Amino acid sequence: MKIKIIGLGSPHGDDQAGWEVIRLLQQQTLPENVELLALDRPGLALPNYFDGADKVILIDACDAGWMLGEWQQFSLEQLLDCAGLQGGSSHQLGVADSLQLAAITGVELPAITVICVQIGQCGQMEAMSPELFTSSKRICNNIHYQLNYAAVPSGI
Amino acid sequence: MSKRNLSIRVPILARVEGEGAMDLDIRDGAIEKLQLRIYEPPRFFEKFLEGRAYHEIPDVVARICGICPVAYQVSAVNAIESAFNMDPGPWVKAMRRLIYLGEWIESHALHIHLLALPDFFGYQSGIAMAKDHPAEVRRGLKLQNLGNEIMRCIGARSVHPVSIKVGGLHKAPDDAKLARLLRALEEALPEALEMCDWLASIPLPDDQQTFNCTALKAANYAVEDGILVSSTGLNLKPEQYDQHFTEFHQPQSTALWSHMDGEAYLVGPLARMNLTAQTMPAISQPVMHKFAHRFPSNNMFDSMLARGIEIVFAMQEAISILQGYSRPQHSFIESTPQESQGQGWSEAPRGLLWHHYELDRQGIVRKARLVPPTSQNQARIEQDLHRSLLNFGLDNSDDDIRLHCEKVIRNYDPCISCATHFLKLNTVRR
Repeated sequence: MKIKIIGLGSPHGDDQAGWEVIRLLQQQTLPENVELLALDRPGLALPNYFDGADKVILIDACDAGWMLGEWQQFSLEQLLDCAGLQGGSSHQLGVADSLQLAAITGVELPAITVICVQIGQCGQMEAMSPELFTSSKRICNNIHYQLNYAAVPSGI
Repeated sequence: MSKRNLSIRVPILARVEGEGAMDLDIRDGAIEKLQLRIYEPPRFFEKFLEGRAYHEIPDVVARICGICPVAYQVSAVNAIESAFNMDPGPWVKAMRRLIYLGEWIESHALHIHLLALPDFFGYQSGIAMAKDHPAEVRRGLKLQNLGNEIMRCIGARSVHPVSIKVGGLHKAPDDAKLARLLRALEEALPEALEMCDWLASIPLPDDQQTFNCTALKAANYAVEDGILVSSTGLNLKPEQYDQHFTEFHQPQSTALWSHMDGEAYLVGPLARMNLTAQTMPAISQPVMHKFAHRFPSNNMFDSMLARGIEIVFAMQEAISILQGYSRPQHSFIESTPQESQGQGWSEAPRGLLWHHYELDRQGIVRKARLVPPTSQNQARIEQDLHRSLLNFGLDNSDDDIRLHCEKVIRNYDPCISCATHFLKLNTVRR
């Protein structure tokens, strides 16, 4: 089973969290069937990066009113149920919009898990908050554990 | 007609690229104020370019826009090659045209399916429209992705590609990738034609207006270069642009406005089709000829069909270039900087994009001016808003008036982020 782990983000402040998780995973020993990708705001092109994957794990920043650095894991269905869709310009299309559009138009999607992490500041080219570094390590450890020691559990 | 008073504020325009707003005041049944307000902060790109070496320019200007970076790169190299008296030859021109066609397909497909069409069917967003028209939106996204694929093949990536340089391309594209691209384009072409049929069948508001048009003209439908023509009879080379086009500030916009000989004018797909459709090989083919009678058009809403036709043209043209592709010995010619100035332009998806650079003898930029299409269309958009709203009727409900105005603005596919590149600062020293 081919697994793609994709960190989404930008170079701005806490929005780098998804990339940081990928950077940490790159330092780990992972099964051969796992591919890591860090993408800069792919917009509608996101589903194109799923090609060849049976399972995709996305890590993305979110603003859900949680505590800074808090993270939760969603299935695609759960995400589409609860995410506020932007639907504005192509500058504003987020992960949920992109996945929603793919699902509605009948694009065949692999099993998708989305890990959302609550962010704070996203100032241009600012550094990431200390809380997000801690969360990124925890997310990395969780993914690493599940990939190596769990028999592909329900979440991942 | 009732003599009512009405104020409509649209603080954030949805489904346009960048940050804009619209203000409308109606007093005693007449329009008192109607403005497209661009409030996105200026981005000072022209100042960033000063002091940069000529070979850095294509990569810097690509960052102005994530939707049309190739347009900025091609206008820039056209201007610099003109300054250095360089001719990179037919292979380079064909490759630049090919990557540019990819940008047209990508940009037009995105605008049609996610930004403009929801207005014509009464949906809030492209996603909402996709629930009822999944096949059409999926087809649109497939075409958009194909445009991106062309850009990736030639430019190494679809957003801010990195292959274009002064004198040519850093590297010739990979033959195997181009062969796959050719097959994909040939397979998808019938779907683009179906899309045109669908677009042509959508009822449009009957909104006839007269307006000036400006576009580049070339023997085979201008994309990467050409001679400027206008509905007022202009026939210009890039270095003559300044003689007829003037930029100026308006208080409601952080982007400069532009007039052609003192008047508003249109650039973009409809202007191109109105002025130069006869140069497009696709329009004379039996499958496309049925759309020819729609142009020239005085209905701005025909812009959507114009974009659809340009997608078909771009795919056919890309196929033709790929079928004739052969790998060159060298993908660029060497450039020798000299103290000079040069002007260049091209047809961005949204219309004419003019660049002017002054360079010193080391090829360092001393002065730069960029005039993007959305800047040029601002005066025309406000003119259109006035006329279109009067045609629509001021007696309509507030919601309908607001929606109609937004529809008029979105029809231009304004890229506000591109337009707010420069702000003239008047400094008073005491």
